[in-house]
Amino acid sequence: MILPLPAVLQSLGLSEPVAGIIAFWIYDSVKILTLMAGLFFLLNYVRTYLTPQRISRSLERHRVFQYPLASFFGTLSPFCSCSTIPLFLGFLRAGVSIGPTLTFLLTSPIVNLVAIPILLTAFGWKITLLYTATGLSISMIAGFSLEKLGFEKDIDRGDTVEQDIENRWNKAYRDTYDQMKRFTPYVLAGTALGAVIQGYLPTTFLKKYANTFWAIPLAVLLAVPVYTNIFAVIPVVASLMAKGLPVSVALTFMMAAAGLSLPEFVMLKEVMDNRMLATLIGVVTAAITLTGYMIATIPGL
Amino acid sequence: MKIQILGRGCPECQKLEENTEKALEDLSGDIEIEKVYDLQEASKMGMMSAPGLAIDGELKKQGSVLKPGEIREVIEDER
Repeated sequence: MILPLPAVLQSLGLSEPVAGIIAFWIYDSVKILTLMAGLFFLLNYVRTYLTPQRISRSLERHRVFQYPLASFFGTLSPFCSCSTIPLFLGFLRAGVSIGPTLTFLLTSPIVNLVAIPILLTAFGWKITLLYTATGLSISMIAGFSLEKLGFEKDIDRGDTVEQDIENRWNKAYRDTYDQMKRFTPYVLAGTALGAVIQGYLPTTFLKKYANTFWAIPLAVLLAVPVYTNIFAVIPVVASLMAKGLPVSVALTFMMAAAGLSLPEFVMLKEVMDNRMLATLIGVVTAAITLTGYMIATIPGL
Repeated sequence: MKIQILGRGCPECQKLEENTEKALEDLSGDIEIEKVYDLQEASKMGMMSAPGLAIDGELKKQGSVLKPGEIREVIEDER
């Protein structure tokens, strides 16, 4: 089933390795975008039953499991920075406390149900399991810490206005269309960069510079100004790992790039005071960095 | 009647604005459009998924970019 794409491109006049890189880019893009479209569609259908309003009511009711529950719901909610503030305020108004609210918001961009199969095809089950487990843990720990540190937000309780969805398949289709429209340019950029890396980056480069001790904080630092999403980061990191990037640095970078997003934090500044926001950023950054070091101690990855 | 578009900073919010303007082209009556960029106010109206469509302070729809025809329906229902 594999088309001889490089050969086709070469016959059109492109030389190796350019033909190989373009072929890689096309294969990777088609693979990721197809998986995304199909999985998002299914997820969006499920989301017509699992609206943010219902999620907030469920979290408010089931206090005992609220952190794992908040994290779980976060994986089912595709991230859009425009909904950060409405969700944050909406959860609080429904009576969900600040901890699980933050956990929900933190999980969503890092661990997404749609991203998991893509992680599996790119990295295999061990790394996917590691990424998922640490991502969920970090968001739960961060949410829990902020709440225990006493941060609160005074907000009036209010009734939720439920979304009435007449046609579920129609809504699923529309949401999928909006999401694919938003993510596709980033994914194409990510797969392009991944293709160039696998084509041109010499394996000696990373062996020289990926000295794990400083590479981990460096990965976090580099990830902060990058505005991207997990789907675009996966192909880049996959290529880097194939060229010798250690697993610990790779996972650290993925989590930091997906989870620490400057625009999202700028939005949160409107609804949080600077102390809370700074603490949140600090806790998440520290947790990601520590996780990186912990993963570095695991043998045989 | 005041139609309020709730949301800020996302392409979907822009699109809802455009579609609402299109919907109003075929409608008569005293209808004005108000853009609510203040997300705290939008949240008070009950919006949790951007963009939102409200009429005279009451949230009618949220979470999708409605087509002009659908927006017209919402307005007609309100009358």
